[in-house]
Amino acid sequence: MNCRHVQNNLSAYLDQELTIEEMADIRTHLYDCSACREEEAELRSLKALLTGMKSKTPNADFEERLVNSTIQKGMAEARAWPRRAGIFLVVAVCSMLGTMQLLQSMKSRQDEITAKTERSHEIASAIHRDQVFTASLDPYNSGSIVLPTDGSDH
Amino acid sequence: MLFSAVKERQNTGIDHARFEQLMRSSNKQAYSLAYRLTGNATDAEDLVQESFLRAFRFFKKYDPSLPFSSWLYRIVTNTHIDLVRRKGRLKTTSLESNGHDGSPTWDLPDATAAADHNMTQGALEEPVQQALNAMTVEFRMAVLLADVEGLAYEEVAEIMGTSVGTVRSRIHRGRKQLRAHLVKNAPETYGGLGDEL
Repeated sequence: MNCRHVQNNLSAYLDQELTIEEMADIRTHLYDCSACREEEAELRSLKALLTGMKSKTPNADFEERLVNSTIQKGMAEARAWPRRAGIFLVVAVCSMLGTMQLLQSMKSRQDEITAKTERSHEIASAIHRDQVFTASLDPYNSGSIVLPTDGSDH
Repeated sequence: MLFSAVKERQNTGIDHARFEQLMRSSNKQAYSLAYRLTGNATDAEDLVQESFLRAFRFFKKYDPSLPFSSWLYRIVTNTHIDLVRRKGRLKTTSLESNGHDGSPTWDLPDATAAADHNMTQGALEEPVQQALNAMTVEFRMAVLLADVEGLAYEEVAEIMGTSVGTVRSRIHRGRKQLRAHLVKNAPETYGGLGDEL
């Protein structure tokens, strides 16, 4: 057991918060090591200083003030809580309904756009069919037509 | 009176008479800890009042099979951390410590040794409180709960909501912070006491 390990465990040693074996090991080390003995003595006197500190007492009227204030404030909070909870519930329900309404309107708008897009595709297909049919009737055409490419304005 | 107490209990779900009894039996103990944590009477009163209000709020969650003081200490320590953070006074002081002028000895730990040194300690009461005030809040709590309140590490860990290993480390580092502060700010008184002990 080295000095570093002992000094890190001196507080626990003083508080008797180590195992019997650890206590014995540190005790043996302290017998042989004057530096660690000094450190132990310092911490021991500090601990004695703290454990000997007197209790602080409040003013004589503190207890009555404390009891009255705590019960009064606690009761007021307890009475206010259902009201606050009610307000919170109303706000939460309103927010939920508002969100649902918004989502519904967004969905309707999306459906409308989808329907318009589908109608556009149908018209484009009809035009394409007409072009193919017209091209096949043209005696000066060899039967081929120029099809629009992707991303064109057609 | 009885009707009023029963009605109050129905309103809040709390046994007011029981809570008041616990408050009366534990407020002095709570105040003493609060004073050591805050360093002055005004903040100590505020801390105790806020802590009991929180205790009232959550009294339904209190397990009566456990000591009320442990439950209250936990509330006091958490409330103190909240109040300190709210005030923006959370300390982040150095963990370094130094000073080795105690007399060599290897006696077994003696927790009762302090009783014989009250006269000498009177002179150190204020410097020690100042040193406590200067400590990191978590270290201060661990040291106070273990040394001033005399709790075991396991109880301190329960109150602070942490592990025994962390408590061990905080107490050791806290004492070293405390000693470093005393060596620096009250070298004559503290050095003299160290020699006597």
